[in-house]
Amino acid sequence: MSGIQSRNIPVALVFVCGLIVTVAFFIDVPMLSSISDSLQTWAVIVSGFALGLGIVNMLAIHSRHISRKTSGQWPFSVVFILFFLAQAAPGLVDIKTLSNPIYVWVYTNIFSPLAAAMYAILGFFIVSAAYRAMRARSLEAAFVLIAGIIVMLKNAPIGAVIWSGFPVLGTWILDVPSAAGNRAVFIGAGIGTILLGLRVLLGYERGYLGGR
Amino acid sequence: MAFFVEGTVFGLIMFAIIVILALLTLQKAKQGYVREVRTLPGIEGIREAIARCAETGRPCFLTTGHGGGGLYTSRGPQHMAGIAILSLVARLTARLGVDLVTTWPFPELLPVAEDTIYQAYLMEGKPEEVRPDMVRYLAGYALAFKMGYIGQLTRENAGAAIVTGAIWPSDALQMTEPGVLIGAIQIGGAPTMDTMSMLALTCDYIFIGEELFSAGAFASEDPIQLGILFSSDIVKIGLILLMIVGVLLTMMGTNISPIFDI
Repeated sequence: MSGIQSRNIPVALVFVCGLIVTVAFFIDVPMLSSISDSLQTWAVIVSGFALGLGIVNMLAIHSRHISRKTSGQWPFSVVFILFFLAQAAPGLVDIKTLSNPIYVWVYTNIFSPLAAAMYAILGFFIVSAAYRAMRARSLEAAFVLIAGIIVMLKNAPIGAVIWSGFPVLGTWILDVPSAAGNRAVFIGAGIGTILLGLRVLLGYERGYLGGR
Repeated sequence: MAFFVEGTVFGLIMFAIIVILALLTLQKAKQGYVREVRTLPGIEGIREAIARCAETGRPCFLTTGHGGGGLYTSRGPQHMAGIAILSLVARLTARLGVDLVTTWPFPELLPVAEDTIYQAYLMEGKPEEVRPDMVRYLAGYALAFKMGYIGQLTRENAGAAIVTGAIWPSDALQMTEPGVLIGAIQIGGAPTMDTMSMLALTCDYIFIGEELFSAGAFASEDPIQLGILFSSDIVKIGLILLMIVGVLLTMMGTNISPIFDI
């Protein structure tokens, strides 16, 4: 197949599929809706099959680390492969309900606490990031500092005790300047999404095909 | 109105206006009417970050984030925007001989990323430098994905981290704060205000709102793609006028909200 054909066929497929799904969103024609639903179901199925690709990718990369004894990485790769197999095997035994006791035990007693710890770290990250943001080194940073303090005092009970105006001022900051900025970004992002979609449908944006 | 899906008519009108304007500006661009566009700080940041990676010999990391959904969900356009940025990043890493690592939470993105990287290295005349571990699937579960990303980013001592695409606010901080700790130059980008505010705390450069979706066009330097972007400015001017009219009508006591429900 020539280069032109191999490029044009995927672009044409994207155009036709994209057009059907877009039109079906606005226009109520049962046949069009049915085709659109089928296309979206296919996308889910293709994604499901791609999971195998992901597993192969992970196992290949970590096996390579182990075989090459990559410094600082290969012990983690050993742990990964061991846990992957240890968790996948009992999960596959009872794949419909995923209620195998070993699978459930590992999930509840190892994965869930690790996930909770990960979220707990977020608290420290917020503090260190807020400290950096709230150093008033410029006029803009001073605005951030002042607005941040007012909103914090709005949310903390002590704020209303210090001055009853903090909750009012904090609510105004969130409802007026913050909401206005938020909506402006939201509208801009919406327009940007439509234009990106149009560039993709017309075949100008070909990043998904591996470049321009 | 049975022909139209209920509640979508106003959206359809706006959508049609944007598309028609985009097609008109596209036609103008094809005729050679090219407008001068500003430079995106995020694009300049990517160039600077990869140049720093080349100087220090540290790898460049890129992810389009988890965001709660893959290519076939409503998060798809954000991943697509991230892939467009990957196209630029991969060309730069190929040109400067920088090690590129990309991490992915959704397996359907793997072949797209592999093709994008291969094509970029091919265009730079270095297809033999593409390695399988440049594209790494981590996990579909958000926390596991983030743990994997943070672990690899810090262990491999990344010199640059590009976190643009479908990013949640909590992801934004969890994924970029470790980058600050290892001294990586970070470029972030997300279309929502709550995520952007988090990225602004930790990143050296950010793509603000629609810049994320335009980055691919800016990076391509293709006059036709840049021409399409001009239509967004026209639409925004129109929307501002519409808002002023809406405010005036509301002040005069007219209820304009039913127009959005047709």
